[in-house]
Amino acid sequence: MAFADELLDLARRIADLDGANPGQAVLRRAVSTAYYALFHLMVGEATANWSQSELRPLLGRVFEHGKMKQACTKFAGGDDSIPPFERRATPTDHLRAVARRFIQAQEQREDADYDVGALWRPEDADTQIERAKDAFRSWMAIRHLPDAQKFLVLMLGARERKRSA
Amino acid sequence: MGMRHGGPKRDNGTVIPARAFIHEREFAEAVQKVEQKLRASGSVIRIRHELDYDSTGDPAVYFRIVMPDSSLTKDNLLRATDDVANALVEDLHPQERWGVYPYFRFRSQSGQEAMQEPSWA
Repeated sequence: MAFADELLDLARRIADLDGANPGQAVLRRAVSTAYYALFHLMVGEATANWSQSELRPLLGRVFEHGKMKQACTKFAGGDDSIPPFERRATPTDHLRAVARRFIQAQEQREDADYDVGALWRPEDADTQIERAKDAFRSWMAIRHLPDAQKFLVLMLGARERKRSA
Repeated sequence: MGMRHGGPKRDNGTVIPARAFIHEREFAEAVQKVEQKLRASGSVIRIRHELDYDSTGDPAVYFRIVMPDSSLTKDNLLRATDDVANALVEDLHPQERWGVYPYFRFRSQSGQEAMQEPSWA
């Protein structure tokens, strides 16, 4: 099982640790782990393109949360809605879903890890885990397509140049 | 408006506030209209929101949405929460009209009754 899949599985297992009445620490770790599953999915997919496998972990250290969010914002589709997975008809639909899920997960992770004033409920953790799973499904549907590969490159913080006609 | 994460991103020292920050009351009224529609359809119990800057300094709106327990079953969780988020985004156009990125958290009615968290009440 790939590291990202392990993390997603772990998020679910953490959320279920305390049964029906989980504590705040458990819920926060589940939310945070769901984000890191998505984070490492993207990093793993991007670095897998590097032919010298022993350098992939080092390349992975180049990724930054803020730059990854900026890349996601470009692909997130503004105020368009996300269709359910079975009605995502185009690669753009899938990429938009991945980008939106990533942005939401990153912000939830920030709150789960650092905002000790906010309380969490099991449904919070469940929602984040389900959204991360949904992003994984959409990513798997498009991962080899050119736009998906471009998305990975932009997540490194690359800036696109505007080309004149 | 609070400061969750330390304030706005600055380019060249100038910050132009998002439209939602300047017209907070109008934004709240627009949210209320969507809330009324979603309440009438039984999709939500109530919607609360907070304008602020997100963790990367971008202007944002944080929605806290209380939903009926029956909507938040494990099988239906993703669909039910996405439907509400999509309705808010499609009706409000938070980014295009108001200049804020929307974030969503959802809680069941019984969950909120158990927690009694004022910001969700």
